[in-house]
Amino acid sequence: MFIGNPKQKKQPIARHNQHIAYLFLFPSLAVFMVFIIYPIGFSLWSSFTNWSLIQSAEYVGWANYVRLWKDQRFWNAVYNTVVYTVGVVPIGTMLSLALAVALNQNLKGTKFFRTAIFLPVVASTAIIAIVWTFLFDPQIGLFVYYLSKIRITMGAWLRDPDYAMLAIIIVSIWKNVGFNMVIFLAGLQGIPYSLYEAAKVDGANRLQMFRYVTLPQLRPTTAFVIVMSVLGSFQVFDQIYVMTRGGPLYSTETLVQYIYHHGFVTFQMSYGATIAMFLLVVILALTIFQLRLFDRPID
Amino acid sequence: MVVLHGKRVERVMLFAVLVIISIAMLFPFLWMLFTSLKPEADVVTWPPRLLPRRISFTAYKTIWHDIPFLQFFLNTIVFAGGVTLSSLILDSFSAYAFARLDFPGKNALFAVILITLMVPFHVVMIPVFSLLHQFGWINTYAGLMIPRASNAFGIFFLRQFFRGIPRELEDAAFVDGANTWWIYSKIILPLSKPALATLAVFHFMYNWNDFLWPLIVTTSVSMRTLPTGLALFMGKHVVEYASLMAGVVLSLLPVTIAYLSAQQHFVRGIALTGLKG
Amino acid sequence: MRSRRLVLLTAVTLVLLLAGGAYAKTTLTFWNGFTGPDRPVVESLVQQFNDENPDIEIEMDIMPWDSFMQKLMPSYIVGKGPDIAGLGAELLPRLVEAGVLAPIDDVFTETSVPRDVLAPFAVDAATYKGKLYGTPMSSFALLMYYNKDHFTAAGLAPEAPNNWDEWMQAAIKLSNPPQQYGMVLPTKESPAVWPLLMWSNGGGILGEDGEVLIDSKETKEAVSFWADAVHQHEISPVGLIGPETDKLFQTGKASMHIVGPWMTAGFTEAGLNYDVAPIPEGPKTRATAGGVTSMAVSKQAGADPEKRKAVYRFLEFWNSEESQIKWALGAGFPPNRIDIADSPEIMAHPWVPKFAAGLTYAQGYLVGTPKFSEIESDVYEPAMESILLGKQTVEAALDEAGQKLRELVK
Repeated sequence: MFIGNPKQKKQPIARHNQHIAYLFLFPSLAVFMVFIIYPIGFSLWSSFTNWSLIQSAEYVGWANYVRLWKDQRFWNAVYNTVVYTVGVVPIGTMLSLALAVALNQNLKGTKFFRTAIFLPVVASTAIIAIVWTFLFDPQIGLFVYYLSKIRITMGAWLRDPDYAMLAIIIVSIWKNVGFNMVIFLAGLQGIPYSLYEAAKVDGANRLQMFRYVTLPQLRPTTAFVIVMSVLGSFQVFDQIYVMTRGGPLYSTETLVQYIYHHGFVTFQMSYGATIAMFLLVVILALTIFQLRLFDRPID
Repeated sequence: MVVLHGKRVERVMLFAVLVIISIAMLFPFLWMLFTSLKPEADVVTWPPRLLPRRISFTAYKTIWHDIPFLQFFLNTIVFAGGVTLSSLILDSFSAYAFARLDFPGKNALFAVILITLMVPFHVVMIPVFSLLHQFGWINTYAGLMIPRASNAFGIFFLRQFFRGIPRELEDAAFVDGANTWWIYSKIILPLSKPALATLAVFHFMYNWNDFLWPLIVTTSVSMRTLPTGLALFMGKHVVEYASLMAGVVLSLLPVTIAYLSAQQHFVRGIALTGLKG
Repeated sequence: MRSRRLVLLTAVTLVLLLAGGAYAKTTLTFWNGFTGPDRPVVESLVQQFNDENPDIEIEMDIMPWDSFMQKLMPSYIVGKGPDIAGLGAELLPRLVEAGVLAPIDDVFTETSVPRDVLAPFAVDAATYKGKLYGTPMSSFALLMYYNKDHFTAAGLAPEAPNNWDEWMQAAIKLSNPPQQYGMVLPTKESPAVWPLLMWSNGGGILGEDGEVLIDSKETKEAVSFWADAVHQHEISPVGLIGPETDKLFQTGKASMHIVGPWMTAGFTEAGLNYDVAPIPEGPKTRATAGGVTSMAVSKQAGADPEKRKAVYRFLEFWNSEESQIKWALGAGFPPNRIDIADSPEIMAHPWVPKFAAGLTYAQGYLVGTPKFSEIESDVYEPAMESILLGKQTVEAALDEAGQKLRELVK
């Protein structure tokens, strides 16, 4: 299917006993089947009903999907989710790669920098969001106060429909850059040093080494980081829930925010599940596309 | 002043950039720390202050006395630690199968595993809760930990890493008559220490901070974890910021320590480098 | 031989039964969202009840409101919901419709707390389609906090305005944005400030009999009056959510603030020179919004006579004079009982009597409709936000809101 590389040559490993693979997979699969796949199936079923958590469900056919198609607030959430993802993933990935490369050499203070950059990952998103709301506050926040000292005025970002998403994006990049940096660092560790030496012998400069050794060798790592970042971005929730609740005027309402609204605010779980199924199909398609694009095993 | 060598200028600039980035990263944490050392009335002020006017440990005393902090702390260690351990084992099993073994349905199964990452928890929460109820697992360690015993993120992560390991060693071992289990446990795992250490930190962190899951699954205070305990300081109308931040500072410590100790493992000199050289 | 064994067996069983009976405790689960500073007060009252009633054990679980809702629904679905839940008036009708709550109309006759000692709107808030589903756990009314130093500095007498014209003049005079704002008018995650302004002019969102008021002439007048001042004089920042308004008042960035009793402790501790006063009288009436958390009884507990009795004992305890005085003095909320509002203990408190006075004329915000959340998030909030952000005129936004609301309550 989509993950395997058709051109991949037969590996000697194929001589292993095939069935042992299922033994290796069994425990994980058992957990997933019971606690995730079955519940997803349940959600899929409920998207064809009018289940509202409290009333017993009746089959309604495609009614929820028709409603979805006509729901402006839903399309607004799709738009916001895409804006968020486009804002977070490319910059976040490049920044974390740059930091990983920078911190993979013998620089003074490497350990300190790595720890500092990773620290935001360690704290929970909800707590981080509380802190940033404080710092960003347009009247009493520290940023506004410091900027006013040098006579710069900062708008009320979180209360302005044109800027609220930008503020969320900045906080999200800040929060996650260390996470991807560490993954890239682990990937960089796996690149055999001999490759760089060979490139050096060929007279490559550092940029060329990055282009022709580091990047191709990092391919599985990059694929992983991008795929996971897109997955995460499409499901962004905590920081928005704490910082803006999807406002002002729905300008930061993303898909999961909207799912939550239907699940636990208005209790129309079946409609929430319908949105979730839409989300699942979109992410699945995107993931397949990305894996086809990036995820070829290196030889 | 001496003319700096081009490379040196570059290094100095890089260093400066990293310092600026680190300050940006650390600033909110300094705010947390200093807020936790303020009396509650000094948190929301104008002009805002980063440093406390006077140092007060009231918030730390409050979290110690007002909630069973130690118990929450230990519960969180058991929960996050247990889940991390089981997930590392199970994830590496599956990752190994996906990275190295050929079997019918491989791609379909991998797709199934990835799908588990594509649905927000809020959507599956209710059916999962009903299941746990049917199993009689509400408010038990089994209920808390078994649904988390493996993680698709970890499988995907390790699969990518395993695929980067050169095959020569395995082929040689295979020729010598080693079986799959031996290759997994004696070659792949030892070579994957950096990845396993990284993943361990991620799993531990994620579960350490998780709020909704332990809250939903447990019903008694004696089973609760730290984030659910700290949430008690967030009132509907009034948030006790100093106490909350004191709790956050204390809860950050173990995870930061876990990160620092794992960092040793991916610093350098992993076996791979020596392998090919 | 055989019969003797039987006798022995019966005797042992009897002894066990008796012993069991003497120690049998009725355990009640009680979930609520009283986190933050209210938690210790709730905990100590529950502890006292447990100590005084050795045959009943209340097992309480306190969690933040939003996660409480997320836990509550799945728990009710599998029949593991709490025997008693502290529910807001906005949620109660929906849960009644879901069939998970038990009516408790006889609670006033079965216990020593009669209906007429409780704040009327607080009892109404737990009444749906003519049946009672809970008694108040806490109730409050919004009042106006004002910063006396700001008033003096602006050359005003440090007294709250009495009517809308005085109020508006003060708000304009006190505004010097962005250093200082006369008012803070939140639109989201906040007490019902805009609705009470609508009520003061005879408007509102939804009338008592379900008629749509949000596009009425009175509502439009009230909203225009204040929104115009926000646009022309910046008397309040726009796009505020509840917690931000508290921070603005606490830091002296705002001079007047409409909020419930829970902020007195924090504002006093922060050293503000402030007072609270009734909301100034509007063109039509003096109005304020009240809020209630009701203790609602689950269907299972209601159907089990043993449990029902124990629940009633707890409800009775909670709204007893003694407990309510402890609650009021501990949490700073007005007592649920209006008959003890002038007791010496209450009167000695600096703020509680003022809030208690507010309870007598408070109204509930969007109570008695199972569509609370839809109305708030699809109709009311977007209308107010787009008016204040200048995206729509008052006329257009409220007309659209009216249309949507009619669609919703149809």
